[in-house]
Amino acid sequence: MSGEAEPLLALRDVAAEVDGVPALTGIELAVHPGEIVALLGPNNSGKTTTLRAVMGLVPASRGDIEFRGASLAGIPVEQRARLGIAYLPEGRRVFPGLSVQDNLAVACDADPEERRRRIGEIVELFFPLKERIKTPAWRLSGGLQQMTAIGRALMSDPLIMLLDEPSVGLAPAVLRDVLARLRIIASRGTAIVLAEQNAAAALSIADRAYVLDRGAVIASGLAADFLIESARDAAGLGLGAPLIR
Amino acid sequence: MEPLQLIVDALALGAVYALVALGFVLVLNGLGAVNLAHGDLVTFGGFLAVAAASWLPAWPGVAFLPLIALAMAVIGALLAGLLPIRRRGAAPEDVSLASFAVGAILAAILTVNFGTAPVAGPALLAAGDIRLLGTGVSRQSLLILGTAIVLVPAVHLFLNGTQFGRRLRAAGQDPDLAQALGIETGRMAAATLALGTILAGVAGMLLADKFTISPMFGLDLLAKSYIAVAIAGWGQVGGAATIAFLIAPLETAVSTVTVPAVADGIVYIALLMFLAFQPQGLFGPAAQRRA
Amino acid sequence: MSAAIGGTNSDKPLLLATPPLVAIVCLGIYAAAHPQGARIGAMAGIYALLVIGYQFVFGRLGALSLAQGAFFGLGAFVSARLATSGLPFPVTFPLAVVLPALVAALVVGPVLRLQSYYVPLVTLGLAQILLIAVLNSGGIADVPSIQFALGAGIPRGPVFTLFVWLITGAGVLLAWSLSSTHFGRFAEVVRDNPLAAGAIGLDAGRMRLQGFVLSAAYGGAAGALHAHLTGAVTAADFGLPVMIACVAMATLGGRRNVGGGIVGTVLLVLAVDATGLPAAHQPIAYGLVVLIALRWLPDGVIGALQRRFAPPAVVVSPAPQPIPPRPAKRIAGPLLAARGITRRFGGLIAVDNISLALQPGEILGVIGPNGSGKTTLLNALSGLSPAQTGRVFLAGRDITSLPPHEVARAGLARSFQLAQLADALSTLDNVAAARAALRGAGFAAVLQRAKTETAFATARAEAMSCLDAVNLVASAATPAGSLTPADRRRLEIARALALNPLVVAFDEPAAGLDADERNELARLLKQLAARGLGLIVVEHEVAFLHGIASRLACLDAGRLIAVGPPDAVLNDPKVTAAYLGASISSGRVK
Repeated sequence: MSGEAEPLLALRDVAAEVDGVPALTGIELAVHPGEIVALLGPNNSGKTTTLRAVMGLVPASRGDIEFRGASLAGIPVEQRARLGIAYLPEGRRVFPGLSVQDNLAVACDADPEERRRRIGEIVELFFPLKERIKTPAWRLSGGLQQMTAIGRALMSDPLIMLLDEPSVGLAPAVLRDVLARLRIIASRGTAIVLAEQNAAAALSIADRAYVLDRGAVIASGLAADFLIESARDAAGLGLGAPLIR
Repeated sequence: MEPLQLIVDALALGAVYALVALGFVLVLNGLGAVNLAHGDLVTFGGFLAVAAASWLPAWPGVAFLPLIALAMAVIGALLAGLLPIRRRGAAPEDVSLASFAVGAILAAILTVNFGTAPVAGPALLAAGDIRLLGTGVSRQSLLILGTAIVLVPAVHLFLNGTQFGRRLRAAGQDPDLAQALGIETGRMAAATLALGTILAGVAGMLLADKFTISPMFGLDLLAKSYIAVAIAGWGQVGGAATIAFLIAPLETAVSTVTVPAVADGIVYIALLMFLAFQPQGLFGPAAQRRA
Repeated sequence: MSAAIGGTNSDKPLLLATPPLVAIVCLGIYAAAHPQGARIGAMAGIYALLVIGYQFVFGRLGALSLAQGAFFGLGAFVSARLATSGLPFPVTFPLAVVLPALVAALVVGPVLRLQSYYVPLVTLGLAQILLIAVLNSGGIADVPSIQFALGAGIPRGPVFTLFVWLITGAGVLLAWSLSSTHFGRFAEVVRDNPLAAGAIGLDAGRMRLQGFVLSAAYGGAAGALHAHLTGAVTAADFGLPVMIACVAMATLGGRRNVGGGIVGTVLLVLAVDATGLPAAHQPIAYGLVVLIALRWLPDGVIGALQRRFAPPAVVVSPAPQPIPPRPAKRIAGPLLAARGITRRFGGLIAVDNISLALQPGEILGVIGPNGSGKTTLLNALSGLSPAQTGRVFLAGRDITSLPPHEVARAGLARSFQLAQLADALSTLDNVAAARAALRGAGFAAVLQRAKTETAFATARAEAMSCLDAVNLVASAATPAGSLTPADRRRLEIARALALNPLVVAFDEPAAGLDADERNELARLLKQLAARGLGLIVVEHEVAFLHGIASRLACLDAGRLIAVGPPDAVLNDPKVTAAYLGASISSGRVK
């Protein structure tokens, strides 16, 4: 839970440009171990850019990104992943020619025994993948690819997971199970940052939330408070209709 | 010549083709692009053996193997720097285009130094036959067959069964995603090319050892590997090696009726017709690209 | 870098023409001062012709064809053989041009549906076959210079050189005038994204064929002239030396630009002659040129000059012009009807005996668990993965086996889960392409240049009104590749509108949109339905569908398990079990 403990990930006054246009204008946020933090806001508010900046895919023109107390500046992308940051880019990207099994295994550093065990768990969670475990990913439908991509992020047992729009393309039943699984993972100590369009889904499991608009944080607080507010004034924050109870 | 000998020799040619295709399909998986220099890398490896034999005549042929493998690995790593892999603003066909240029350079260097006439390379083992089933079978042929039997499954297992191989393929299919997941794509590209070029060198040495090589063979060897990959299904390792292996007896059979050059022509025509009807290949693509 | 459609046109034609003119002048000066000048000048013209032809496939279509040297050699062979038998130039030359073109059509044509990575293979195979055929027949020697009828001819020398450049000039003019045809305008779309080309209504296969046929014709012409110039045809004319030279000249000069082709050719021809490089070493030099150009001059010399002196002008967006509506036709029966369609992939049945009907003005929502065949259903309707049994009728017309571009033109537009756009083209041009593609513009358009220019201007104006409908006017000049995913989806919708469709099929259009955008989209879809279009919307956002759809259909494992009014379907226990996992009667609707 949040509080006085050292944040696992901290962004201090982070600014960034994308294609010459300012995308982030001073982001302040903190995530603690075992915490689920929702990043909400309309499109182009900077949710994706924030996650990409943490991964190093977008250079920060100002400010500091700290992970476990040390600055990430200057650390290349590949190394940030190895520090314990798992990243799920938006758009269900999978390796098309790799089977589901290989897609899950490829980014996991654990030894083969453990890897096999984790794959087994993931495939239980995403039951449609079970019979398609050897299918090359290009043959899967979009939603199954998204499941594979999320599964891949879950495989690496990271310190923190950055998930960009994981709900896109998932049938409601599957989405519920994914959210439940994320809650379990967080309870084991992994921090989770959820950038989500589907605010209701994200808030249903988040501890805290930040709302972004035009590259800056305009509101932050406990998720529970946002849920109450949303019943009264959803339009202003771009929150969707509740789907999950 | 005894029929067994003939058969073994024909199989040996097939094994060489299989080894050539092996390196080609490995690079295809690891780079996601066709290495049009592959055939010329094979002949380059063979000529390196020829050159080494003339510099160090006292050495047994087998001793050259590790040296040439090393030299080819270095060349492969250099190639990784030369080819526009993941360069900003590069068009998707640029890697193949650059590889075509490299192949042309290699072929020209070899032609200038060695001429175009086919040349035999140093013997890797003591010449002569091993007695097998009552007839003499060329040692060289057995060496080639043995190498293919070991290397083809080894590469297949490597690419499909090891974590490194998985990562190699991932880096070839979506380098940006691979990088974001912690895979060092630069190293993967260098490793791919080093391994592929070593395989090319080995194939070239064996080809020179048992048969002959000429700088003119480069394009032809490339075409056959490429054909094998297309017929087997894009990216399939075992399938490509098998089909390449089968091209040899097909060639041999056709050239008993016509001129060997025409046999080549027939193989090409057969391929074009096959592709027109079965673009997916026999075993289906291992990776899908947009139409 | 926002590129307007078309490769050889530009806002500043005079500026673009300067480098090749300068190159030609330099060539002239060099040739005048050189004892062998006439021959060098002719050689440069011949290679320029070869390279300009190569640009059609290599530069515009992005296809690494390895057969250009073979077409060159074939043209040389035909010319030489016929000329040594006494036939005059006016007979041999057209044959030398047409025969390679025919070979290209016959060989490349059937394999055009293939993935682009097969192009080097197929063309390599073709080149090898032709090389073998020539090697077998021996070379040809003692080829005379150009002979017309009645004993008049052109001796080798300055007049010959001028004649060559005359023909090359004709080639340049032809290439320039092709810019008003479909091929000239849209080759880049085929190169960038063949799926997008199909969605726009462009026949990618036919355009690839056109490109190859053109490149072969130019190659044959160059080869014929070469045979007359050198007096002989040898195996070297067919093989690697010609190919690597051609590639080097095209890459150095600039792949997509005729002026670039001339500049690259002149630079290398002069360099090779001035340094006296022996023939055996030339491929090394050419190969190095390619590697260096790829590293430091990715758009060639022309591209570097353009960036420095003629940066792309700001494209003025035209005023919007509404699209003329389709002539109203009374249709008996549904707008779109699918009867018992099935689609398998190997052993897997992706779409299993589905029948649907869509009325004008209706919005049909399609839901279903992941992997239930929703996208495959859309692919079957739109021709991307045609149904193997059953029929699909659009306004009474059987469209079951039509290829995607024909389906688009017939009036069924679709969007994709991941927007398929031509990323290098501007937002406006992505939509204008759809408008312009509807007006056929084959090679006959070359003769009606003014008319097609006006038509294209109209297409852009109409495209603006489509962008207006989806609120993308502000991004009209932005390259599509730079748009955000949500804007890309809107652009796809604008493009679908540009086709003036009867039916539009959407694949998860609301994914990734925030609440405001979703409301806009809902409004837009309702407007379209009010105009009489039929809409099919595949979606997971059930609340979104509930607000706009008059009927819902639910798929599971390829079968239709429920169809009817939204409330009925959403409370159907089969649907709940397969898809929702819980009752959503408690969900509030916006």
